[in-house]
Amino acid sequence: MRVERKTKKGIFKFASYSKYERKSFLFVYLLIFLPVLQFIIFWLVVNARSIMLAFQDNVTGAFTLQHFSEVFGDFTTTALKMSEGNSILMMMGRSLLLWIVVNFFGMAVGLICTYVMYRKIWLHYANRVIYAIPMIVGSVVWVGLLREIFTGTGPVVWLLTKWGAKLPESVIAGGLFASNSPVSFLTLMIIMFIQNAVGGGVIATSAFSKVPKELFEAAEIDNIGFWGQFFNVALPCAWPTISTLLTVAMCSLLVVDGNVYLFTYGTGGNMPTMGFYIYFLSVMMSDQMSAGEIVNYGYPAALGIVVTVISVPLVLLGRKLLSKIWTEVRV
Amino acid sequence: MKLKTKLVNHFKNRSLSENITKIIFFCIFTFMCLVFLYPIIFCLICSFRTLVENIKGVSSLFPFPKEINLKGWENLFTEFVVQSYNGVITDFAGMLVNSLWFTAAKVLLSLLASTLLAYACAKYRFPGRGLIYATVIFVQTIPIFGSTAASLKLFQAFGMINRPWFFWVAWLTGFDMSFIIMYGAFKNMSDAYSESAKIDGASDLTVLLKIIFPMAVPILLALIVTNSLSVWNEYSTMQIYLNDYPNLAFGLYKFGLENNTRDPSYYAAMIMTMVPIAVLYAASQKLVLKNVSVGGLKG
Repeated sequence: MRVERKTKKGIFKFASYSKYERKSFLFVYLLIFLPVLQFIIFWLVVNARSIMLAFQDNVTGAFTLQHFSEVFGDFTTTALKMSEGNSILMMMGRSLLLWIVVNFFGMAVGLICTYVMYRKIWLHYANRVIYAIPMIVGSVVWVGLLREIFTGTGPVVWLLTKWGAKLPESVIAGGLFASNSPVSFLTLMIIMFIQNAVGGGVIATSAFSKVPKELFEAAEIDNIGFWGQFFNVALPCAWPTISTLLTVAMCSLLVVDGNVYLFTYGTGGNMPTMGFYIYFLSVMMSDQMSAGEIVNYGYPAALGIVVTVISVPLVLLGRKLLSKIWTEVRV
Repeated sequence: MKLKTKLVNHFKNRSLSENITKIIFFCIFTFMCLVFLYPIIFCLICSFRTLVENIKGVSSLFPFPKEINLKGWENLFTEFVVQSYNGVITDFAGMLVNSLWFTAAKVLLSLLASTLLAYACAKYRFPGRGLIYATVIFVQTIPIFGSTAASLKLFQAFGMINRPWFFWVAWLTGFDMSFIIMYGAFKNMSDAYSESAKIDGASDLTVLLKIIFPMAVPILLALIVTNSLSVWNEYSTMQIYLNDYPNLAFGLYKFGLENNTRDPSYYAAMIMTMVPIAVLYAASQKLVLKNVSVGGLKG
């Protein structure tokens, strides 16, 4: 169905269309009208406005670089409203570490687990449903459940104490996610790794399931073993899906939040991440607005620009590297 | 006997390395299943204990109560309440209703927008088509942060804060991951039926409603399920923009923040929050796996 016509000069002329084509043309623009309008208002205008806010004084609206100066100041010193020692660099570092644990190591182990499940291990269907529990029940419920078992009087601390582990006083009193717990971030990384490693993912499972069975049969005839089939058949064939997942995941390279906001009830505790900090500032603005106070729009907007400017080159580099792997595979 | 024969045949037909790998992974997976199920079992047990027992703590992995206490479940609809910044009190039933309309409205509106946009881009050639596709890819793959400040200002200017009936326009987000999946699906759909219908005099709208939509139903259902999972559990919209309309996810967070999380009704609320969405997922897992894929193998 074509409703496009190019004139000699490449200028679009509505009058050059037949009556039928014009109808189709109007139909198409009616279809896309609302989504495009929504995008213009709620993405384009919002992001343009966000850039303006970063350069405006919160009260007078006059041009200022004050917000950027505050953001850069917070890179090495304690960031706005955060507890001692939590600079922006520190929070970015935690996010990057979480990203590597979750999306690099977690996904690598996750792919192996997904492949084994795909090759019909016993109870694979039940396993897939059970491992999807964190995704199904959602972050609030899942974090709520974990917080309860990791409290000072909960089963994990009880078990560790029973096994003779010498836990710090702060952990015995407040649990592994207590605000002064020295092991809270380590615990968070272990939890995130396990969730992603065995959890696999609905889309990754789906990618393996669409690899033609004949390829595995041919590999078996060629005496390629179970793991040989994984590296030479399954992984290259599923690569378009996996690289897409990694490309999308790259967007959160420096801003993974790790559900820190939920684990610490909005305080950040001993483990604030960059994702946590951005959300924390959003809630702070909402609270200031509800209380009728002067809202600090400029600082979060400036921080957003700075994080975007740092993230984009890293994301583009990552995408370029990903696009060079298994380019010759066509299924 | 039948099972024994089945098992023997299973091992016989496979290489030694494959059998060893599968046995090792079966043991790991079974242990991990228990790890994933344990928090839910623990929470369920705690919902039947008294507040005093829960505060006292546990001395076993499965701290069954001496006597089953149903107060947490009885109080769920009366004592599990949260108060908004403006003083609006919402109980568990109210939160459940908020979760239902919020999930239905956001999922259906955003899916409608992305489906219409994807259909137009996949099946028609018109000026701006390439730009729309490139924009979706850009938005999905290039991270842009810090827009909440401008969003809050805009929503306040439009009078949308705490007014969900004005929020529908914000949910018509067509430039999302659903667009990419639907675009792939429409691209793979044969044009034979729609072209035959056009020859018979069918209009563009008739083709869309009577031919294309019925063909896209399985993938649309799969997207409804996957999108519902994330929207049902979303708390940020309620916390920042719709504070007077807490859904179950935000209600749970707020109740935990302001009250004692050892309250048996808190545990009961967690169980009740996960039940509807878990049932939906379990019932439609095969449909989701069959239809949702991103990247290159199938749209």
